[in-house]
Amino acid sequence: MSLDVSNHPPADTSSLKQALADLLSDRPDTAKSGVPVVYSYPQPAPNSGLLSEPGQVKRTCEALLCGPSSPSLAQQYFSPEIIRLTPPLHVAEDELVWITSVDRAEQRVMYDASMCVLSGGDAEAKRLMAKAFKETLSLPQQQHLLTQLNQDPRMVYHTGLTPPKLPDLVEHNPLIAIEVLLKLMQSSQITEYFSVLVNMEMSLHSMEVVNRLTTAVELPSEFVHLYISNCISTCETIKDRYMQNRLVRLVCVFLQSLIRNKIINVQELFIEVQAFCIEFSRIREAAALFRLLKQLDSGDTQATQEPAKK
Amino acid sequence: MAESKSGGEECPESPTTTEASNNSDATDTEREWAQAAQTQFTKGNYVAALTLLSYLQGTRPKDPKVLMNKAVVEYYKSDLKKTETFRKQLADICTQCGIKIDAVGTGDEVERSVIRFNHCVVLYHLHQYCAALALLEKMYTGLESLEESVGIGVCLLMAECHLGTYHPERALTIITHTETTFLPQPLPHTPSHKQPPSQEKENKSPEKISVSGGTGSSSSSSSSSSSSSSSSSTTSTAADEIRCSATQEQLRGKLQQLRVRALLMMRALRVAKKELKTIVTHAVTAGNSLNVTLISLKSQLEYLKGNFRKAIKVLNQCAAIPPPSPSYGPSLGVMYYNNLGVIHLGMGKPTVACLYLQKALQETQIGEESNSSAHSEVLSHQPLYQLSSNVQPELYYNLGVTLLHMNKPDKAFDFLLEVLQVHPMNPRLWLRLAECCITVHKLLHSRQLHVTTCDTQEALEMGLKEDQSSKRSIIQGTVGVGMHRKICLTTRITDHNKKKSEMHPESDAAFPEPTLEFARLCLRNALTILPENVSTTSLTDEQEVSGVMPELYPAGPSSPLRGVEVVSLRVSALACSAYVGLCLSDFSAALRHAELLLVAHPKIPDVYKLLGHLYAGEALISLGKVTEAIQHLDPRVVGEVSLSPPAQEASNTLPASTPSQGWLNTTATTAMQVMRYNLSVAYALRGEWEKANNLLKEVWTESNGNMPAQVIMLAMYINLQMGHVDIMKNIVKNNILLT
Repeated sequence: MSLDVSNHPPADTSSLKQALADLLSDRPDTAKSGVPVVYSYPQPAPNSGLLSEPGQVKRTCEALLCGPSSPSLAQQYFSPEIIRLTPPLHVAEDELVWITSVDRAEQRVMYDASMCVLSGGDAEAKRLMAKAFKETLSLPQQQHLLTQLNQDPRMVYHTGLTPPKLPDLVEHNPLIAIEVLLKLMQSSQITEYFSVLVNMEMSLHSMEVVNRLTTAVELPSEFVHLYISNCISTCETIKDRYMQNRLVRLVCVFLQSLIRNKIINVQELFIEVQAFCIEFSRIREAAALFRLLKQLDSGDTQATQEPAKK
Repeated sequence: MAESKSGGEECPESPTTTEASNNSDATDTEREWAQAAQTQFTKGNYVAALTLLSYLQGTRPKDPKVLMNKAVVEYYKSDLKKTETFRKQLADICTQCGIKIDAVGTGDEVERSVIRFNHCVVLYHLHQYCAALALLEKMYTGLESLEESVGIGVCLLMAECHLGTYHPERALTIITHTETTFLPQPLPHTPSHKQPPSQEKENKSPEKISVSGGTGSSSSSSSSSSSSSSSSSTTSTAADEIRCSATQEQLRGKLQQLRVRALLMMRALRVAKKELKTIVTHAVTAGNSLNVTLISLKSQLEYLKGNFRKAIKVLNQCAAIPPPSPSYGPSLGVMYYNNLGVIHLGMGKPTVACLYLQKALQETQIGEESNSSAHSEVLSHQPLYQLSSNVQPELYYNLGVTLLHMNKPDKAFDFLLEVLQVHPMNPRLWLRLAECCITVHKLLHSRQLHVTTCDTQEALEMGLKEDQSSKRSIIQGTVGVGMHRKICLTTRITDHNKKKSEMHPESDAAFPEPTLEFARLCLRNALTILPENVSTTSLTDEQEVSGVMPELYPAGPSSPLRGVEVVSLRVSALACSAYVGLCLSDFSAALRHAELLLVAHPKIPDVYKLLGHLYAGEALISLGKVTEAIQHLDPRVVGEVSLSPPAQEASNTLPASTPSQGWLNTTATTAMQVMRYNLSVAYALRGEWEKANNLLKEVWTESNGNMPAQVIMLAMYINLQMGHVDIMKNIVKNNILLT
């Protein structure tokens, strides 16, 4: 404290400074940014207090160099501080769980009603029916299935037949399809089956089924009309000449039979059928159908009786 | 199912059929016993049914159907409480008879279908949906071969299981297929069109039923079954038809209800509304009051549309209806209070929401206390339907999220951690857990330092309120008196970064705590689970109506996430990851996440764009790359920001579960000030004092003298570095009011 330094020559610190600069040049900016925290800030109105001047100096030095804080105040530094925002809570739609009370008893443990009473017939019929969707059944199999269906009128509801599957059944087993449809006549599902039948791809089998149905029961006329329109448009659009001829013949025979059996009222379809006959007049059956139409047109009652006699 | 049995009880098989089929296995007496047993069972006389089944078991000890029915009746006799016993019995029967219950072979499926179905029913009620689905899936492929009632059961159960696993789109496929398979017509969208035939049938039905009933009673009185042969085939078909249509109506109702639930889960609101309207009008025309399920669905629809008041109104109808039968679950109280809580959080009232949710939780405990039992014995003492109605994970999740919004992260963390046991694959749950950790960290540090400058909200609001204490914190104090007085500045205003001493290097995975380290783990999981390359195109209304399925990603227990939500979740998770990285001094990870965040999606919300640049800038500064940091912190990079919550942009109809973010439009400028401040810091670190000072002056003047302590500190710092000690002292004088 009392050491007088004024007489000593100033020490050369340039090399020291140079060394420090070299050291700092390797450091990142953040590491070099600190500045001391202690600054002189004299009180405007000095209040000397009890201690003498040197005493105050000493006390201040002590507080700065060996105060209670660690590291001491003189060694502390501060550097610019980045403000770091906390991310906001994630915003989610419909995140919380809505609870709906439902009847748990809807999923209940089931009592097997088929115990002892299941004769095997049910399962057998079902198996055969499943097979009938995929392939043509053998004659005994068909017989078996039909007897089963005849024995139990309810069986038809349990064979697994649904409207979308009807086309497969018709294609593979038209006979069974006819029987099944006849049995389903009373069912509320029958319109659904009809609409499937009407809209399915036209074929010999489907025509056979419709033909048989028309003779067996009274079909709603709009279904029959729809089916005929469907047949005609199929004939018109088909590309294969051979197939076309075949189909046209089939349709003509089918129409003739419908007309003769008075299933359809020809007046309602007259223009459509006539156009069809003219378009395919090269085919013998179409010409015959055309003649039939003309006869009907000229003398109603007489004409209808005449072809029936033939 | 039961209704089909109850209907055709008197003549389940006409005797001619059974005789003709020549079933050598079952004798006539056995068949009589079987019929009587079934009758007793449907009447609920389980003891009588059991006696009869015991006779049957005596003569047919190895018939799996007899054994199973006996187990079923015993189970019903125990009020469906002895679930464990029942499961064991089923397993025993299977091993005895050489059936593999958990593997559907190619054998005679029809014969084994019911036992398998029952196994699945129990699995469903115990919430083991995936196990049940695996089995049901195989039965579903052979649906045609199954008995119709079993087939319908399989379909309904499958739809329920898909809803249970949060796959509404799969449930819808099943529902549609069920309709086409078991119902004659597509749904009656126009009830008027459908009504006449069914009414006609109903008109017919009474006499027909009385006829068949009469024959049935006479046959039982004369104690000979032969009389039923007299019933002509025509009447029996008609009766069958009637029974069919009645059960079909019932099935149609069930399917419609399931469909609405699936649609609401998918948030296909328009279609759901239409469908729900059909059911409600159907119920009203039939003169029935709405049941509790329908009220809940109706209220949910209003909630999802954002009509919170209306949703509450609808929900309150629950009080007006007769209490639902005990088989309904969860209980009315649980449902009511939970949904009220959900609605209130949507309205931005987390405190009220929390009250309701806690009440819902209490309601569940009331139910459980009535039959208090050890947890291990739950399977022997609680009725099956009560087990099935357990919604504890859902309630815990709701409570957790609500508590997080209430700024109570510790409690939220505990609740969400429980949910994690059940739903470990939910990325949003992992994110919420991380958010809990971050909030805990934030609160901890703000408490320690008595300043909350770095909270997003408060930092931005700092411009609005004078926080004297935060300014006082600029100086640690003074030393000495008079001429020798020194002021000591603080070293840091806030210290986000964890100090080495408080690091938890080995946070125990078995006992997670809400620490930043755990947050890092959570976020890593969330980002791993989140699917990549999701399509974010939302469906148009026409597509929705035409039944196009959006891509959905499960996030149980909540409704599944859509593509847009997955992206926003990823953005949030990346932002949190970057933040946690910075706090843990893992700067390169923070930088990586921030950069990923900025390229996560071409249209990320402005909030996250801003945060991404801020985090990237900070990470780069800490990594000593100040020049690169300056590029991120340039306000022109971000451009104009509008800091409205992203959900408001996404849709105006759906409720955002986050009520207030403090990200109001008015604070957009303040947020930009933070950015410029940080840029000023970057300049200062590079020693570009003039630039730094000019930028800071802008921030200073714009904030009208009310600025965070950091701004003052930086002003002092820059002036010190520029050698303007006087100015620094002036700043101290003017801002800290130190004399």
